[in-house]
Amino acid sequence: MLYRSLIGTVAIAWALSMSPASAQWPPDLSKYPDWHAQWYRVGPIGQYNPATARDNQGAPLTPEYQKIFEDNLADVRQGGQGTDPTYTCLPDGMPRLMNVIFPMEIIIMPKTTTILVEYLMQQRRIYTDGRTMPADAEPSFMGYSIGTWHDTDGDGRYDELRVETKNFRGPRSYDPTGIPLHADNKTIVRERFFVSKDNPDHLHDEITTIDSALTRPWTILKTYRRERNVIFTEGYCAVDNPHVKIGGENYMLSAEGLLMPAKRGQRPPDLRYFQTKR
Amino acid sequence: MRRQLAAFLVGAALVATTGAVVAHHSFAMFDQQNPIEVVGTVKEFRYTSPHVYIYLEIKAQDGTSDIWNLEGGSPSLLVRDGWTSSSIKPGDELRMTIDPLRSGAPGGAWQATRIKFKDGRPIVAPK
Repeated sequence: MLYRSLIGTVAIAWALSMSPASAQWPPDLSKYPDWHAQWYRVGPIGQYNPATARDNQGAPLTPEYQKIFEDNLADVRQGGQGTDPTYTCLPDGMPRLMNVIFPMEIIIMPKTTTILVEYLMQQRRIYTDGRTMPADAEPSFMGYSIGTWHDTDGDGRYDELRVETKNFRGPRSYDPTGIPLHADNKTIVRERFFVSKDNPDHLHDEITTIDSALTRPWTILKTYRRERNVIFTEGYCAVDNPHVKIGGENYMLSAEGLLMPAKRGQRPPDLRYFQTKR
Repeated sequence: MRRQLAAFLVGAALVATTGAVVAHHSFAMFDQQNPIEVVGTVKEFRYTSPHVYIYLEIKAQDGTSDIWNLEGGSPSLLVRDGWTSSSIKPGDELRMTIDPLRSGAPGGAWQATRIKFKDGRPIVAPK
């Protein structure tokens, strides 16, 4: 009897030790870097590669996708939106999210790092708990991110987060200029996050994108400035967005909520399903 | 109406001033090379993200009017300069330099540095 009771007690203790409730709280964050507060992009707004001219960012596009990009530019010159899908409030997805149009917050926990970007209230979750890429995850705009922490200078604290992200859905482009990612969505994004050695208020993200629309991996470097006077606002794009897409064409809503042409000489959309005669 | 309205716009086709409006989406539908100045009365100020909107009633010389949908910057950035949802109120009279829609429809884009009250006061006092 005593033996059975002892087994039961041990079993309960083991079960409790394996339950989430027994995880250490508060977690020990002493090994992790201080990336708290608010991060603003350094460089021009809405431009993926900040080190180049806006019109020539160095994307090594395949001929097929270079043609798609140039057709996009021609449409933009007429007032169109080209291959930029976000004007109707579709999320940026990756790697465009890291343009950080509006400020970013990074929340580091031992098993996850969460990146919140004010624009569209977008979030990405980077798993750092040792898991592998799941085989059955649904594709998403942000993809599935797995990260590992590294102590590159051997001081006993992590100073670099390396991330690989896969399993995307689209459409996505790199920025409002419409540089396209491939429609097969087989993008792989590899990142290195680290703080500048010279300035603890400058965070870098080295981003390498591997994509079927590129002839080779494309690496760029982002920099973000820490703002300690934190002010975030609400960023739900759909609240008053007047930009609409009908039949592949972009239009704009008037102050009265009526459809207006966005391009010079633009025809109204196809109204074949409206039976009412005027 | 549109031609009359265009004639009423103050100082039309100004020389392009500060840099082009660039945001989370392309502003290509707005003619940034040919900004115009308009004066009108605010019908509504929509302080929403990622862009704020001013619905501005602009009267033509013949007494008719249109309400223009004018797209501005983001609260995320404006808040740092002291803007709030009550910085502009219905009934306020504004003088704005805008980039009009290429189509000629009553819409356009504006930057905070290029608008003020009709009497010349800044929308938000400089800090």
